[in-house]
Amino acid sequence: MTGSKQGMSELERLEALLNRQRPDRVPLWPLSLGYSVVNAGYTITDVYSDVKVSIDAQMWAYEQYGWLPIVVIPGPLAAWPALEFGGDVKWPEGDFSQAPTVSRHPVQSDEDILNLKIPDNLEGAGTIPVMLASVAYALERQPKGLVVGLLGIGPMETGRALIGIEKLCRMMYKKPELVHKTFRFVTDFQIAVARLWAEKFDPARICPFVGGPTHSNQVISPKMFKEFCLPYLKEQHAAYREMGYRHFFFHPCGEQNENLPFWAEVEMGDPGIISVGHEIDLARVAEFFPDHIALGNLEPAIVQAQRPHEIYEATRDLVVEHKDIPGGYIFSLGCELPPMAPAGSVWAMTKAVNDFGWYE
Amino acid sequence: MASEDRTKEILEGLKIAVKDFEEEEAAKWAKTALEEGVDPFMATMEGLAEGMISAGDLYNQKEYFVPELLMCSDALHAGLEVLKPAIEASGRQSEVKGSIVLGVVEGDVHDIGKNLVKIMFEVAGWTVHDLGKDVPLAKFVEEQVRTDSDVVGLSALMTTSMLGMPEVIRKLKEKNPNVRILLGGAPINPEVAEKYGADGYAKTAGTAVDEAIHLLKMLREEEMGKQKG
Repeated sequence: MTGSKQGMSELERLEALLNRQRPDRVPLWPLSLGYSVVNAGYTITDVYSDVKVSIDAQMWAYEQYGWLPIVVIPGPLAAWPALEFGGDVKWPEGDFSQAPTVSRHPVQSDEDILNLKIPDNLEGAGTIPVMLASVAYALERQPKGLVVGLLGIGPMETGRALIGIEKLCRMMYKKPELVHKTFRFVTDFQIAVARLWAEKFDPARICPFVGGPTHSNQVISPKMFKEFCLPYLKEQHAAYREMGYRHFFFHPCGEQNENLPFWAEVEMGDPGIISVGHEIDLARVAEFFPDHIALGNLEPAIVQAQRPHEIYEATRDLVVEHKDIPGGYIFSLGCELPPMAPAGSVWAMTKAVNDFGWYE
Repeated sequence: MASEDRTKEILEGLKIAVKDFEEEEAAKWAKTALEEGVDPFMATMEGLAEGMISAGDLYNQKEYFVPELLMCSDALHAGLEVLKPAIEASGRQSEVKGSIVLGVVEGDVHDIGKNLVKIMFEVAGWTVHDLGKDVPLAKFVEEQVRTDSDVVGLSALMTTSMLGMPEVIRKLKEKNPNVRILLGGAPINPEVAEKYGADGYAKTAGTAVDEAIHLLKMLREEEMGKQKG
């Protein structure tokens, strides 16, 4: 990092936090999948069409800015799972897209739900082969540090990909038994995929990406979250721990204040990394997840639209206020770093962490 | 012909059926309204629509969420299905409160927020021109010109798709300086809306109609001020 004091390396900072020790300075790790690839001279389309570009670009950005060595596997994100069950996915293209979306949901009728089945050849289904190849490449390119993989987004996310959000929301009242049937299925499916990964790679190096925005209280009530999602999440996360996944990257996304007490009942790793949106005060993360690392949570729109000096000040305020969170603190945004954020704005954020993030 | 008290009872029945998302009850009360001679237009606006407005209030108070609003909307439509033929047969036109072009901007297919906004404008008596999702930027301008709408509502859920908004706003204002532009969506906040040149920002579907009405009121006051000046 230009102008930074000499101290621990970024890997040492990450290892310190994961071992529940305080590093010498607040580290910085923005969710920078899209930004890193654009920064390296490619397009958002390349994030998903060329995994090597995607992973190399993240490592390039980490070295350029001095960010933590945590590589994200460029999976189908909110479009997971769809291709695996006969649906269609639209990959980002053009000037304004950011992420893959489901263009045709696999489930078109109630009967389709009853017929959902984990593919016999799981290793060859949909996006799974590309994700496996991506993990292998990421682990090879980055022998230390963490790899975050799309393994554990919750049942509202995966259910939405299969069924569609409006239909799923209506079913929660009209056909709750089918919602449970769907959530049972996606939980079993994701556990099967996680087991496949754990057989092929060292699960201690892989951080399942868990959570998701469709569970937010901008969509469903905390009561529905508790009734429909919590039991499956508890089971899923506990199964991952048994398989040897040590650290989870938990990103609930959006306004989930009323869900936090329930999320706190779910296994999050040893320790987990708790990444919340700007809608949630990091003090609440410390309250509900005292043994985990807090990550966040500058509003992405600020980085996209405001001036560098404003971003610098907003970053400073967050770092100063939250650097002493007992479980440890990583500065980040509340969601993905805007892929088209001006370089000067990203540098302002990085500089503020370096100016104000040091521990005595 | 229903008495005044009975009419009130029927309107309340319609309202509660929508608020409590009881589709069958909404259809039943709508049939009762027709059978007992209640003006179908009144049954729609003072019964069904009032129920949806109550649902919007509960959404703003975080007592209702997306599933509940969608269920209320289904009950509303169940009642409307019954009343619509009678309204059309009467030839009566509703008083249009305003006209809005709505859409999710290019590159973005997240339309649930926009769909909720559409429902709330419709029940508030607005004419809604819904362009859908992933709408090419130029289409907003064409549609505003074609419909001469008072307000254009742009929605985005991604920090990349929001980047198209300033271009749409600039072109809209070039064509028609009086059009009022309302932004919404997760990456938008009041500061971004202002920076992009929009006239207003709606944090939720439940506040969008009030914000649009406020923008139109301001516009009318400006116009009156100019006339006096």
